[in-house]
Amino acid sequence: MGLFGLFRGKSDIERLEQEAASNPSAATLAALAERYQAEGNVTRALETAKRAVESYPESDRARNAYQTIRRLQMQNRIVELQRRIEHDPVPGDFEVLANLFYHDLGNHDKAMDLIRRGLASFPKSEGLHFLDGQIRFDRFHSEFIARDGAKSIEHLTEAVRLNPQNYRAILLLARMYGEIGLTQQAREQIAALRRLAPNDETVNAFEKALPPEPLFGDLDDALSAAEQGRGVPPGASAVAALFGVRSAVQRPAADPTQIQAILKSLVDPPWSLGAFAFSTEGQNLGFEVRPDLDGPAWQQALIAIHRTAEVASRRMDIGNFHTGTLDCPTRRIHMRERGTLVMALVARSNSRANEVEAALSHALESF
Amino acid sequence: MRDVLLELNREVGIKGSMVLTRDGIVVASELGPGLDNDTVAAIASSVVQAFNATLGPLKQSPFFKFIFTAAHGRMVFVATGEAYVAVVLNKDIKIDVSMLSIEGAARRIRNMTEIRL
Repeated sequence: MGLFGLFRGKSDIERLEQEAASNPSAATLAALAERYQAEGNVTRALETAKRAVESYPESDRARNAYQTIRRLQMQNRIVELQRRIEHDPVPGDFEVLANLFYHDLGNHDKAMDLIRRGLASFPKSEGLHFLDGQIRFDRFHSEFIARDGAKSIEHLTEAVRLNPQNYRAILLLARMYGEIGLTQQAREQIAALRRLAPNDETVNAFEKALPPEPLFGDLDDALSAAEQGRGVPPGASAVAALFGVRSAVQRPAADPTQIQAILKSLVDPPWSLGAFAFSTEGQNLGFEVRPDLDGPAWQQALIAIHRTAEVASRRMDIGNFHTGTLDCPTRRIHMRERGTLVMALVARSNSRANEVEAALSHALESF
Repeated sequence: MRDVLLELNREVGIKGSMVLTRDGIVVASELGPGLDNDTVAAIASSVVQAFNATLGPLKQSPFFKFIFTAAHGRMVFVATGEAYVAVVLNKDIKIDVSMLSIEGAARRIRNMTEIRL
């Protein structure tokens, strides 16, 4: 960097530092972290990116900045592991790289891709089965999707079959069963834990917290109940409390007056033709439309579109639907889910996508 | 058509792609590891058919493009003449860059089908 570039870089950093102090938005913190990284100040880059992610866990901008910085720092290690995987892999290479992507970079997709590739070549890798089970376990606790729970149990069971001494896998398995109310299966795992660690206090507390009787007859019923309730069933709340498990979402206070006021404000912009709110279960929560839009027909269609997307998303094994944009001949539909609330905007087809998205995003922040 | 899909799949973050008609019949498919052809075909087919059936009465059918993001991934559908290109993507990528490639592939497929007709 030349002298001029050095001064410009410093003034950029000072400006961003001032902005981050007065208005620490996700974008400002991410930009500041990237500037530190560009200047070679690795420690501050990582600290700032971490602060961005912790303050704004749902911000793509913050997450991308953090992942990029971490990735740059780990570049040599990643390249070396990728090279080994391409040429002469052992199960441990997939495991280490997947772990690195999952735990250090927070990139679940990449970690899962690596695990799939690894298991295709090494189906008896205890480590890969454990990691798959662990990621599914974490995913289950973020959205309580039945498929994640079932896959977590499947891979953890396989990890334990391959290595009956795998304490962490048995513990996660016991927790899965306990948290979904399958008391008997949880007790069997607790007995296995006791054989490995007879004096573990957590295991004793865990057994006491289990519901005395099973809450469901089989795994499918138990997982379906968790998915429908988006959380641990009430009968297993003591187990959930012991391990600090929270329900997937806090139900938004669906105050009809507040929703209607927000819908009204969303119809004001010239690009907007209608604003709609409904629950993830398909309950109509209100709409505001311009005179040329058939409100009830659009509301019904939007609920059906959301339902189709939600089902597709789950069957694709990519979790719950979050956002969608649908371009039609003369309309553009933007849809966004927050908790159990879905808001949709029907806009003119020539509207600016980022403007509509910003309005929708801002509206949902009110809940 | 498969060559176009294979080239598209080489883009960062794209896990697989397929071409299907408006009535949900898969014409070509190139999916990466971990994606089951029958499952993705059934899902893509149901999205295309259900959306167009829903949008028909509102005079908004057929749809041109659908991008949806879920907790752990993305799917994109782009109309290409009488068919759609359906693409499965990672969530952690810049969608704008991927869209250029997807729309380019859709144009190439449209040109192919038009020449054949």
